[in-house]
Amino acid sequence: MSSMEALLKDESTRNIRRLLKVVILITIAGAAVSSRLFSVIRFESIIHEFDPWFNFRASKYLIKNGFYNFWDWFDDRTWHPLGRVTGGTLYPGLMVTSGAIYHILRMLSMPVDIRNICVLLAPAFSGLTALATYLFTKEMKDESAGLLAAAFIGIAPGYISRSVAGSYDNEAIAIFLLMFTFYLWIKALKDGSAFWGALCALFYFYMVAAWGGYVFITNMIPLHAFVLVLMGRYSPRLYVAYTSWFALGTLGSMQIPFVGFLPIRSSEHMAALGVFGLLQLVGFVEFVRYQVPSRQFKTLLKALIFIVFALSSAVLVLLTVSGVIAPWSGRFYSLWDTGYAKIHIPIIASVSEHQPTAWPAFFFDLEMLIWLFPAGIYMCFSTLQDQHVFVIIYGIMASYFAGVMVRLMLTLTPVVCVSAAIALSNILDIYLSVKTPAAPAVGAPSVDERKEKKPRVNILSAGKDSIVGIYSKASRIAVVAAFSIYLFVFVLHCTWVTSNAYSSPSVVLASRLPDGSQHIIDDYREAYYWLRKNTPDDAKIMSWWDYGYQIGGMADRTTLVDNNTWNNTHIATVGKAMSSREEVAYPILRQHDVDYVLVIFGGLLGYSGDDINKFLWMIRIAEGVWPDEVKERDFFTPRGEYRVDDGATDTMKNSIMYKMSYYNYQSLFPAGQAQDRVRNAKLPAVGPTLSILDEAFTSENWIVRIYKVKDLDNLGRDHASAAAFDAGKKKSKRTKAGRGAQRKLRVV
Amino acid sequence: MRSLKNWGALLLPLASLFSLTLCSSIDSTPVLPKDFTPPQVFKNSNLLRTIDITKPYVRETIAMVIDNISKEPQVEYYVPITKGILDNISYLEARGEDGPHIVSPVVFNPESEIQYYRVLFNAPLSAGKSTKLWITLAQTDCLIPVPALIGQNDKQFLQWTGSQYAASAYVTEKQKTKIKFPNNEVPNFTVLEKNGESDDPTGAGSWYTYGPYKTVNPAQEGGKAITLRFEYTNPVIKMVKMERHIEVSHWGGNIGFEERYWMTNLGAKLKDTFSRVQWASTSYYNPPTSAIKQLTFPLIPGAQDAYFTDEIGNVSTSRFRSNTREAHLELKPRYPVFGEWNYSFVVGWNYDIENFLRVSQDGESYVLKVPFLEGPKDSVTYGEMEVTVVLPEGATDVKYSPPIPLVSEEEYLHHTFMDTLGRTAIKMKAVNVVDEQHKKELIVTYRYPTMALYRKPFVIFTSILTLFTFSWLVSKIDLKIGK
Repeated sequence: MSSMEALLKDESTRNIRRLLKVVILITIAGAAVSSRLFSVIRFESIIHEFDPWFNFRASKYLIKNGFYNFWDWFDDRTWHPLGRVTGGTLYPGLMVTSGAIYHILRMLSMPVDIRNICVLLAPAFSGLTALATYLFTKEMKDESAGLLAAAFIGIAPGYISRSVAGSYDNEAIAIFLLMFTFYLWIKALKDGSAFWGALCALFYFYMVAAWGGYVFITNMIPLHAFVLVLMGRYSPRLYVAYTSWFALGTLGSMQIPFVGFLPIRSSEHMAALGVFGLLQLVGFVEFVRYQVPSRQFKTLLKALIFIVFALSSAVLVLLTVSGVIAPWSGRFYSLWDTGYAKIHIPIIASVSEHQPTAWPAFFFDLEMLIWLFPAGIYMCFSTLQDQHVFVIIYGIMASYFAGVMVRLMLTLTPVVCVSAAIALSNILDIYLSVKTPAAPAVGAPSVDERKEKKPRVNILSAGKDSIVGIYSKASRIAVVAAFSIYLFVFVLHCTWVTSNAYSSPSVVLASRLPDGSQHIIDDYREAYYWLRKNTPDDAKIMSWWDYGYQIGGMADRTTLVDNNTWNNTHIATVGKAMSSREEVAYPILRQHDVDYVLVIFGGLLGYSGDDINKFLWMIRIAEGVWPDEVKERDFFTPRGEYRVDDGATDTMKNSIMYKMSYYNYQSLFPAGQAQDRVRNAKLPAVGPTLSILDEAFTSENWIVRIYKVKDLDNLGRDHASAAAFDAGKKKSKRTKAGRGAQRKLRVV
Repeated sequence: MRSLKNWGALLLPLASLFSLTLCSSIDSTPVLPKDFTPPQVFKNSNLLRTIDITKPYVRETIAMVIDNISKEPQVEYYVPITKGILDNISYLEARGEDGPHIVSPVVFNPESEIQYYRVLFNAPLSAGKSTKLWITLAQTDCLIPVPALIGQNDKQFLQWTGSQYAASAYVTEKQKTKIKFPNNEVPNFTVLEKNGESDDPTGAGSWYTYGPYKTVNPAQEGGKAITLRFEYTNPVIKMVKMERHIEVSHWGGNIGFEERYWMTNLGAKLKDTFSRVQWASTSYYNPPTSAIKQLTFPLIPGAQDAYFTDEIGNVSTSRFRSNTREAHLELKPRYPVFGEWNYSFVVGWNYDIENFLRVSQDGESYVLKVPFLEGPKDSVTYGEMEVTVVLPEGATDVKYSPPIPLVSEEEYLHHTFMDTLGRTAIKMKAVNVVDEQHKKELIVTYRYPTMALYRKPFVIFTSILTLFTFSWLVSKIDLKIGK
């Protein structure tokens, strides 16, 4: 036992301990990487979901055209006919990172495909996140807590959900940058070092380049500084650390075109600027107080400071009101009022990851960490140093945000891991200690013992001294065994969640054949590849915005709207076209040069994420722009049901979305037996007819259906009467014959 | 093989590059004066032309007995080809009783409607003597779908237009033409004037015969045009472009193949758009279709790690059956490829190197024998084709003998995983290749010194050592300002 103690503490075994630490960290990084590879092993090395397809496409563009062209990239293959100033409206950090890795590997003559770099970037960075979390936690408590935190963040599902192989999104590198920037901040604050402050600013700049969530850092660090000042913990260290971070970091962040002058013009960044000013004032006061020991003068100064502070706040408000400083953006309002988005910005509310978090999600994503988290926060209170204040603030803020929006679970996860590690490491420190404490005198511990411990005099840590030691071996074994079991269960849970919930590429669906073998449903790629190979290179595809990035990435065709959602009106236009009658939709399609319309239909397979289920959002978004032309109410039956069967409203049945989804579908079934397996509805015996569109392609399982927009009729008729004529019906009286063979577009 | 045998001894000391240039100078096309016409020194006393249109290209075999009617021995026999189809000729080969002859296109007046190929006899044909000569040629892109638009479940018909007589630069005394169709369904064919008593053409089922005809002069050229329309139940598969990449690794004991295809279907287009309902309901019965549903690659047994991907990732609808006797890679494109639809894909597989590489007695010279072209079992033609063979880093004295005529060839350095110099690679380009060439073999000889084998581990070892030394040195530097 004593040899064990020697190994852990002795100076002579320092190298062995260091080696052990490195090995443990490498193992943790290995576990973090390998647990994210489920999808690669189960499916293939493929880019997942939606946004990653854009990032992937942008990375390919960067590699092909070089950095400066990437910077100036105007993309005319999205948002037709508007185009998108892509180079100026994205966070380039991710693409530049993978581009740099690509070029370095090239230089080392390792010609690795850019797709594989993109797919494996997130797992690789999760290994680095584990390292950054280790460093951060080490600053909070000690190395063993750091190792625990690294292990936790490595496999916590809350972080894995955004960083599995293939999920090539900004968050993939942002969480590493977040943790590393925080670590550098703590380091700078502890040492009062301008060097660490500058490093912190450098990584802050990287973070700004990588993710819109940099605003979290922009507000966390000032908040920490502010709270420290309020707690009376102002010190030259804080001044040096903060000012060097703020000055360099702000200048750095302004280099990103998408950010530009936001740091001095938008409300989200004002806190940092305000705290910067406050620190100057406080610094000045401290300086003056040091010089002038007069009591009255101090009072005067305090008043002066208060006035300056109040004045500058007033100026800030004034500037905001007058519009010089942009007010809080909608996305931020939705963080305060969860109902805000639903009313004002349906496009944000329509994204499932922007919904408030359900309670079970916390347990699902963090398991036992979630109940260790408050304990860790309590431990931070009990040794309340400057850096612990940071963890406390971070914990509180992140908890709130994670409760408001599902996707912000991501920012909560690191702090939960850190504080859970602090808590667990404390428990293990106490219960794993082999030494039996000397039996104290009956009653309170002696005064000498107290002095040795040198507790910080603090109200919050008042109860600390009551813990004096664990005497019985049984209790030690019981507690340690219990926690070992918890840890095992935690690992099992993380693996299970990762494998079952977070490792599906969503581009490729998996199902099981009756014999248990895996069957891959690859309809998306089938249809996208068909588009890529068999349509003209400049064909314009209209689809709901969800599929914009995928069409751009896989089909390589021009889209009308995509997941960038920068232009709500344009999206509403698409929504209007989808929810209108054919006569109304056709002019919209023609005016936007649409060649093909793509819809997702899950009725045959029971795939619930299809367009009919998303249809209400299209209607709502369209209604937001054209309240007179599109009305959500018309799509519901008088009893308020959303139906697609015989009982569907006429507006529903006549919308081209409905028609495109169910066109020809009934002919797969015996007469009158057509069944929609998603909505469990029996469809009308007579299927919808289409006169402005031709079915061009339908994928194997009908998930993707592509329609070609018909050209104008050669005889100048509208399509409905042309179709009726072809079907041999009598010409309707209203359309006069011989109005000339003039092809014209009728705008209804 | 030919080139190796003939100049191997002569050129061994020279660098392989030189052998390449010499290669082209010997095989170079004969240049003749602009007003060239073949001298009338032969007569074809009997000729049988067989036209095989069972595949998506046309294969013509002309078997003939030729007489030397001049006073001197002759070595050159000219075969005329109409200028229009010259670009479609995949190959033209000649064989006599004593084996294959050297054939090369003639360069003369490029304006002339008739161009020639020259057949060089192995031994001169003495005056007055006669011999047998077989000429085989394949022509691509000459079958057009009529009607050009068909329904999804309709039968597909192709049309071929050719000539009544076999083209010859000499007088032909007796000749006939036999045509082989893929099946009995021949709805339209040109009926010529009665040839004596019998109909022209005669025959039924899948064989039709035009002729026999008596004395035909070269001036009559092809005679009347004949047009044949017949049912073709398979898709007309054309690989517009194909790149085959063969990588030899001595370290890995592995030879890797990767092929990239840009495939299109030259068959009849769909009259209407594609209907999934119809496709799903008929695919139960698996009827013949004009769409490309599946391709089967018969590989050499022993193939491993086969894969099938395209520009957006793995295609899950493939099957690889491999056992000791056979290896079949069955591919299903993501969607059925109808007329004028395109599909591009990549397939690849590996073999153990032992069955393909022989080492000479000095232990540093190697002979590699690989199939020049593998490819699907289904009948296909290739537009542009590029075969690259990547040899290990440091291989020298590369010599090779392509089994089919090339349009260009080059030797270059291919840089890939952890190469310092780059690997020696040869790139061969050919056009208009047909699937008959599938099993032909490519032989490459090269020298690979043992030292070169150890280059890579040495380079890696040295660079890592340098890295460690460097970082150790850096860690020793003390940058502190104050003590």
